[in-house]
Amino acid sequence: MTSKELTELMQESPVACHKALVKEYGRYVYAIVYNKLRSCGTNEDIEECVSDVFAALFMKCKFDISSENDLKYLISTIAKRKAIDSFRSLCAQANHITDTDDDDMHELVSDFSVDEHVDRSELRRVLLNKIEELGEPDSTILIQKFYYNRNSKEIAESVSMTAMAVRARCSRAMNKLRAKLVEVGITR
Amino acid sequence: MKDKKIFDILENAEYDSMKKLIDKCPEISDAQLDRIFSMSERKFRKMENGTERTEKDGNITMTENDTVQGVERSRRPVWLTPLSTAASMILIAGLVISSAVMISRNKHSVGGGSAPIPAVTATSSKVTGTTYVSTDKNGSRLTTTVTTASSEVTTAKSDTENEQSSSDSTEFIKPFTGNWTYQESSVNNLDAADSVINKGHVEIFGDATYKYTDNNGNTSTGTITKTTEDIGGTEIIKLDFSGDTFMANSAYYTESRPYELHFGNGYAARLLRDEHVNNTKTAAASYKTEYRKILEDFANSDAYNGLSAWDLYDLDNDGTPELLISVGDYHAASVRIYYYENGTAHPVCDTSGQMAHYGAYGYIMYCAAEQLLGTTDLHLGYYYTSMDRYSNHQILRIHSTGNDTGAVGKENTTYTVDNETVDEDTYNKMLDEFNSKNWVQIGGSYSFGDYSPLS
Repeated sequence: MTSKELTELMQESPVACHKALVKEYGRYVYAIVYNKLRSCGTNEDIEECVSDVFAALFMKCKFDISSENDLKYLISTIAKRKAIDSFRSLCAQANHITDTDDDDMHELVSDFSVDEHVDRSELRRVLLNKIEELGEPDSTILIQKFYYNRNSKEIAESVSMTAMAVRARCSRAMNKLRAKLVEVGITR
Repeated sequence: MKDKKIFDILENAEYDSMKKLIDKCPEISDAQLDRIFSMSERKFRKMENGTERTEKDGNITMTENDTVQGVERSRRPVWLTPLSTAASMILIAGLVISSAVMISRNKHSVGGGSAPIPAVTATSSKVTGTTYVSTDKNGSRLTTTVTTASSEVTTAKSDTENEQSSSDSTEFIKPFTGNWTYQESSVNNLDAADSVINKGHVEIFGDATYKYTDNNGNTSTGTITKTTEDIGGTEIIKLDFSGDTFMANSAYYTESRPYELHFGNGYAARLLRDEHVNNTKTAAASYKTEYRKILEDFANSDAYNGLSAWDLYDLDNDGTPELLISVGDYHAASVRIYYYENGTAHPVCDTSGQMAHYGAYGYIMYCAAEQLLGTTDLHLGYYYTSMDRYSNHQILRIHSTGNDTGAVGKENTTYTVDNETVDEDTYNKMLDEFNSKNWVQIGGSYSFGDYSPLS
């Protein structure tokens, strides 16, 4: 859906436009939000944040957005910012009361390490490459199993396989991936 | 390698990695999409309503680029303006009225008024005065009446108002006019009659002046001002005598002793009305003074403790109460009884001539109809009663009973009457007689330090 199509649809029916946006970009927004909130939020928190993203997007659509060249980029930007807001909010709730003593003070010095960030980024790239090397449907099964935390039955529906088969392939794919990672020196 | 743990590394992915993860994202069910859509719509409507409300104010224009212009106007309740106006008016009116009242009051004061203050002289032909009322930071109110004896020349400017004020300001002296004797105590205790020395005579006049004549015939004069001190809710009248005639300048007056103006704490010097001087010795020797001495002596003795207390009770109905000193309120704490006779307090003794230590737990039982004293005591299984008559300031034993049932049991009980072993019937007969009396419990009504009944 281009911005022009969106504008036209908006003029016809705003609600239809909104529904179309959710249907078109729901999975996309969900993936972005999930990536940020995976470790700190529940499924409800993630859905709440996704709805925040679309509400902000609807507000944007209220005005003329025909000038937006890349609608997907706009949505991803809104999604990332909302997800970061939610992440901070959820972390603040979880850590609202902290017991800080002298032993913990060193943790307040900095929570961002450039080296660690680079290492993680490189590790992420290598991991995704090795998963991709496994090919379909193993890569999808592993990602949905271990990253999106889907059970075998749900994965089976998305890859058109039985749950038993998914579990078997998942086990074998994980062994393959482990071997590939050892080859490149990732053993942890 | 933990399978799940390594996938945590995929969080916070950059754009490229994110793209791959989005591709692998499972499909979202229609139900979940509908839920997200409805939530989004609800939030959107809420945001939209907020925007429309802001735009309706007219000062803010939402453009397509979300540029905010103008200022936000806060909504104030309609009733707030007239209410705040009314409150302001009340405040201003209050300030104006209070200022007017204060200015009006200030006109009457010597310090703030424009009228010249008459000069002060000891020999006066005309008197003017002014009353000051002030309140210190603790809230104590201090009322001061300055009486000024003025000559004709200095008071020539006094107007009618000042004359009226003068008349009012000397009104206070009327209760104190007359002849007084100035007394000092050589031991700082006027209650000690032997220590009281008459130093001279004072005559207080209706114009708030006084004349003092000492025993050698030397005279001095001065003026008197009245001050009222409000201390702890009690107003104390204080007369300030000019000059250094007396031990102190301020003499205090208490209604309980209308014949006396005492200086300082009241024990060192005082003015006593002449008609009371002759009665001083009698008053000093009253039972109250004597009992007070007894109490003070007891308070300084080894027998005194924190539980000690005292009481007054007319045991023999002779019009002078007996002093009862309770050593304590524990089992063995007896009561010491004193009576007043011939200007002196004496201890009540038993038949052996020794000071009687009567009662238990700091109390004695008293039967007013027959002037009987009684004691009951239950201790360690022994029950004991005694009944005595208080006669001629002596305690005379009538009967005593005892049993040891609580210690040895009913079967082995020994019953005694007047320390003689008796049978149960005899014992019960005597006990019934004891119990038939209309006993009241007396003693220990006042704590040491509270001598108000003796003032």
